[in-house]
Amino acid sequence: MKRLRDLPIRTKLNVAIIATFTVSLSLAAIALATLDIVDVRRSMVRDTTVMADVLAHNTQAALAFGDPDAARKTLRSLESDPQIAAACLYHADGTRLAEYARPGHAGTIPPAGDGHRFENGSLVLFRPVLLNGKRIGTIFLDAPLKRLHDRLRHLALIGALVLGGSMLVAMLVFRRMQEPVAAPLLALTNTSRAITKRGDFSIRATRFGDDEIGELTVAFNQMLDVIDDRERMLRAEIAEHQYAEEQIVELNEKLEARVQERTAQLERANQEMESFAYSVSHDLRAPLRAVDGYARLLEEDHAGKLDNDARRLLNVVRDEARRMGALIDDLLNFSKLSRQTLRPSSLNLGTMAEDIVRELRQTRPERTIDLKATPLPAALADPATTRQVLVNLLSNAVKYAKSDGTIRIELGGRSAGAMNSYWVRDEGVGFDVRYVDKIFGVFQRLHGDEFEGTGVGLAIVDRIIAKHGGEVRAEGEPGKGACFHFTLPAVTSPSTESEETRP
Amino acid sequence: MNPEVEILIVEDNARDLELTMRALAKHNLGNKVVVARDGQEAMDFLFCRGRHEERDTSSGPHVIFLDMKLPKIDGIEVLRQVKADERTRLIPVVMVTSSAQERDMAESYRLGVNSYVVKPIDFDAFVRTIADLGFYWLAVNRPVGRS
Repeated sequence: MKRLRDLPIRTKLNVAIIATFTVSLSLAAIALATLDIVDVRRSMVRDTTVMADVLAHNTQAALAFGDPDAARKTLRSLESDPQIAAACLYHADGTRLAEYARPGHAGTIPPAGDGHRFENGSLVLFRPVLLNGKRIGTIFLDAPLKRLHDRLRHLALIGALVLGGSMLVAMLVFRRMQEPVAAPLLALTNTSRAITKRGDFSIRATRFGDDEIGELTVAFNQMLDVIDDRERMLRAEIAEHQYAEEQIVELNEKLEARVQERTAQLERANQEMESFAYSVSHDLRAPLRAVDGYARLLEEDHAGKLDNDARRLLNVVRDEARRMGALIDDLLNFSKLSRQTLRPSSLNLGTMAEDIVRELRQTRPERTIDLKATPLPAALADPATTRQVLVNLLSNAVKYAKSDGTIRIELGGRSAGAMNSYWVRDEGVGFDVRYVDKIFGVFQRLHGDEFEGTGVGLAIVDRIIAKHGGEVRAEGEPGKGACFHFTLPAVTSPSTESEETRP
Repeated sequence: MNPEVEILIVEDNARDLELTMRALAKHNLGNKVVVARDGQEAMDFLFCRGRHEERDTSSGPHVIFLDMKLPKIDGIEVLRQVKADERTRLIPVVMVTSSAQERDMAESYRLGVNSYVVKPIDFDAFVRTIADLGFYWLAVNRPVGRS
């Protein structure tokens, strides 16, 4: 069986109304019936008492003279009154003088005290028969309560009819009334179902009136407004997010395409550079060899025809050919640097510098070269290219030395965090600090013919240091020497610090 | 009757060729020299084809001086074919070239070149180098099948 709270509202209302009607009407009917019954009984008692008194008066003489016939005659007059079923007249001592009973009646009963009582569906009444104020007998009347029962039956019938009729009316009224109650609720339910099904938060419930359901509808719609706003904001945010994401993807694609394009360009450029270097290496050398060789052949084969000046001129030709050869070699070395892979290890620059200076002393036996190297922090650098840096800087120091006296070179260094700082200082001819920007450029020379050189050495230094992530810087003053500073990565692991690398 | 050939010089540059011949002549090494001016001619000579059809492979050469950059067929290709052929793969090949490119050097050694020499620009050094090569491969070195 369904529990009450699970029943539809319509049924609940129905039950409530019917119960209320039934109870109130029944109570009203019972109250009315009770009042009526009391009233009817009272009037029955009164009527029967009056009748008994009339009969007592009429039977005074018969009782006084002990004449049963006369008494019976008088009693028989009761036949006309259907209300009385039996009657009896007693002497004062209780003996019966006369009696009357309708057919089918049980009969009379012996006299009891005066007054009336209801028993066995009848009103039983005893009244004294008086003569000159003196009791001479008793009269008994039996009035069945059929009248009363009939009346009760009528009342019940009427009550039932009224109850049924009013209930019918109530149901009809209720059927009309339930529409305004149930319809808004149903509408609300349908609205929320539609929203759930379609996911459309712009749907609103219709408001039917100003009652509680109307307020509920308003509250429901307000809640929908809030949800709708949130939903819209969320959608906007998602759309924005998606747009941004698309933008990023697009940008990434563009970037990737550009990177690929640039990589391809670079690869092409690199290939071109390589084939260019190859051509330089092969094709420029051959004519130079011819220039030098043929000048020599001229000298050998036609020595007799050449005077000293002609021989000097031929020497100039050969010197220049060799110089150009050196230029080509330097240029190739320089261009090779960019393609070279560094293999860094822990380096002792001091030992390396001493080796180089030893070699330099052999090329310039006429000069005294003094290298002063302070203890240096170990560098994490590529041995071959770092050696090239030191070769170029140290040979520059020797090359640009003043024309007499000991050539003094100082190599110093200190650690400064992740990078070590080193310097090579000389006491040579120096340079004008105004041209410091040009000093690291390819084929840039600050000095003229008095010093040999191609102008590539410092450019190579700059490029090697830059490849190591370091920086190069030069200080100088004409006549007072120059100082070249450079930085190289420091050795971070203590285990490799003591390691020495010899070329 | 095929005259004995000691050196096959493969060189397209007339100047370099003259200087080379001069250097060899200076040291009396220039008598039994054959010159090819491009890769194709060198191959024809080595494999007795074309105008060298009548030639017998037994007549030499004892060493090949091979330039890297040549018309028609370049030096690397000549080297490859010489070293791949049963008839010629025992002939010592010396790359005599202007190119000091690592790439060329590595490839030459991979293909089995016997020596790799960069021609110096300085004439004196050049003469010395060529003469040294001639002496080494014709007098010092002992090849297979020659007592």
